[in-house]
Amino acid sequence: MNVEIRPATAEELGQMGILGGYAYGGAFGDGADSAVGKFNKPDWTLCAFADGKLASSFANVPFTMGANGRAVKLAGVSSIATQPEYRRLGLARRIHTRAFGEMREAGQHVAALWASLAAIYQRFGYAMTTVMREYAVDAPDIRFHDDDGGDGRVARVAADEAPDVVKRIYGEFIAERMCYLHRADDDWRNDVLKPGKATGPVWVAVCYDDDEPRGYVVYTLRADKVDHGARDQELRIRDMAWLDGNAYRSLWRFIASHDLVGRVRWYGAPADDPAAEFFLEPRLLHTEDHEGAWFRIIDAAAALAERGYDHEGELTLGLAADPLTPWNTGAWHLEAGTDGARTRRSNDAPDIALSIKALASLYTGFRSATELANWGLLDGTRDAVRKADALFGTRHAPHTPDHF
Amino acid sequence: MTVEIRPATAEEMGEMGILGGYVYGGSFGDGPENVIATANLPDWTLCAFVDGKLASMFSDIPFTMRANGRAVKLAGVSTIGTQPEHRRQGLVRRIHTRAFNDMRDAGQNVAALWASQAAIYQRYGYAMTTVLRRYTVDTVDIRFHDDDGGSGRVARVDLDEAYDVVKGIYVQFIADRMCYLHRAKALWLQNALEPVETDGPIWVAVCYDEDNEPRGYVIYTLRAGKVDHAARGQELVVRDLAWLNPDAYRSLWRFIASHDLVGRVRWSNAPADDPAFEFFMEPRMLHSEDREGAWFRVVDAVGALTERGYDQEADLTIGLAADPLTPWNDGTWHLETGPDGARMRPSNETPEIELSSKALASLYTGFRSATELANWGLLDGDAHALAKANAIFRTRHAPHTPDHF
Repeated sequence: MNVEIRPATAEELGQMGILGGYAYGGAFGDGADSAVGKFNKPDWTLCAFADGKLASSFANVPFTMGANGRAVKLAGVSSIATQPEYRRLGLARRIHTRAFGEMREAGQHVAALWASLAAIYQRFGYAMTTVMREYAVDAPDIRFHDDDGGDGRVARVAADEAPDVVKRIYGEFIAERMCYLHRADDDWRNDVLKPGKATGPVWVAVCYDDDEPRGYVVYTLRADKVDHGARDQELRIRDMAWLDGNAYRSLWRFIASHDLVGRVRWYGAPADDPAAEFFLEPRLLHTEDHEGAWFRIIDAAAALAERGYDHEGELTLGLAADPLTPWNTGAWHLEAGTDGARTRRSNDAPDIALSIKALASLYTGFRSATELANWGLLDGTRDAVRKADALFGTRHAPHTPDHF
Repeated sequence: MTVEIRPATAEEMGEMGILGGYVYGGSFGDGPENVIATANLPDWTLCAFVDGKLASMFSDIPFTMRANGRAVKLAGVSTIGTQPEHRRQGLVRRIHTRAFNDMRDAGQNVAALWASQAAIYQRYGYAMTTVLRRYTVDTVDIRFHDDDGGSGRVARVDLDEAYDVVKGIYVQFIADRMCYLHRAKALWLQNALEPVETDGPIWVAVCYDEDNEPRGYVIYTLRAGKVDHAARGQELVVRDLAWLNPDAYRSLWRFIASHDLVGRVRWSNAPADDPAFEFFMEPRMLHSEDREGAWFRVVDAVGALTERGYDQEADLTIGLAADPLTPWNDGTWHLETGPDGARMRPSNETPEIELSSKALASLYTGFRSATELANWGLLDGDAHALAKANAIFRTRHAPHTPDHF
């Protein structure tokens, strides 16, 4: 069998669409013009062709993400599928090996993906570092324990006005945050603001403070969704952003004013969403944390240098051997501060030692060094571990609400 | 209407039982001889009697809990109930006002409870600071992404031998942890080791390392006919699990996975920082759910903050908002911490961080960081103060209270 690893041509994208239809069981459409065939560009792809036929597909969607106050390039790994006739042959590993090298050259020092199966990607050094929090709450249960429902004015905006205002708020909302994607116009159109047959029209409500927009919620409303004598509608929150606690509270108050809604569902709230702290009866949120996106450090020295830090500090990290990204292996000295960070090779004994997978957990702020050490996934003295806790702590929990 | 707030007498415990049967809808039994009447001591109680009749009840079970390496007294608030004829009259508030004073006098600087309704207790400054993590996983899905199923030897021990072994491991397990209770024999027998007829006998498996030292245990039950599965109809319920190193933790899961007829393993009181997610091949198959845990209240801020364990040498000036239930906490305090202990004194300086009693419970337990509380508008302070507070209050492990009381 002759295996060739290369990008697909424009003509071959249809084959990727068909493979995606098969591998994902139609979740993104079937046939040559499924989402897999339509939304990928040939340049983004890296495929395995076995004896000239598409055997395995892969795409690297170029994103930018927030990294604790900085903007960094992110490789959005997507469209991974292998024909059943070519599984267990190591094709995805061969693609990954080459892709990681190319990402590094392109300055994409971090990669992320949504895993069909975790088993596949844990092998390649990805770590689950974000969660999708789901709330399912009845409108009358939206009450604040301190009676503070915010004093912002919340009003719906017309569909054509909405993109401008929500984009501006979102930009500010994610500025300090971790792992949120910068959204291009297409992302808004094809994802957040796209109406669906089953969900009905998309509504956008904006919270104003003296006419300054301070938050928004994008949502849909459908009747006959809840088995309730008076409140049979479901309100689904697509996206929500807020610039202060007052706007956050005001948006919930607005949502609660939907008297015919028996279920508000928000799938995609961040792990540090404050609702549990504000609600009178937090358990009525019926909170569930689902698996979020998986992150992978491609180039440790560069990723650590370009992230934002809130502490001055120095730390020597020892990274365990990783055959997929051998350039990361060894000891690195990190010098971090609020103005930036530098990394360099080091000959010192590392303060902390960890795997490339554990580094993804630490880099994103999803796990603290203390947690990783408790679990046997990081070695270091208690002092070093505490120093790492302080250095890598992020202002907000890492979160990637957008699927790709 | 004459209201008297006082402990119940031994003769009045039966009335408390009847009231508890009514307000909890029989969850803890009905009638004067239910758990409420028999498991409480008159000394622990504080009740409101209206015109001589029991209207509202309360009890303070004296516990000791871990506080990041230290042992501290904990008031285990329990058995709160009010006759429907006497609700909305502020009786529970009157009881709490006096109880917080009594606790302070008794050196119980922290209180905790399991809330029937959060709404009642948020008013009194309690904050939810622990969760009960529930896993529901099929045995075939217990697999490790790094193929490391541990190297410990796991074997069941007889129940009469079990108590000493598990107690020894538990004591070590909680030593560095936060908000875990010291368990008296009665607490073992009423919680982890209490048989429930529908779940069958209780099993205890212990993990031994290569030197035959016990390094972890799991207490569990096994019942057939619980899962709709043609081959794996049994359910294994984990009552309690403790481990002294990751190898023991992995080995215990491997032992559980060897129950080939079990289609569902359910563990409903794992801690928030349980590592299963990091070890499992397919973490989503844990069907993890974090449910509301115990609520904590800082009764005496000076007492509580000085007796907790710290890993950071630092000082911080803390401003506590006025709180009518615990007025002695109001004002500005200077906290000085270190691995050897902590001191706190009133201060005239401008506070570096300012927060409410409720937010202090979140910070004290390590459940929320100062940064989180500040992001949510529940704590004021500049970036430097937040970083300092994060470092000071961070705990070695997530706060957890698996025992219901």
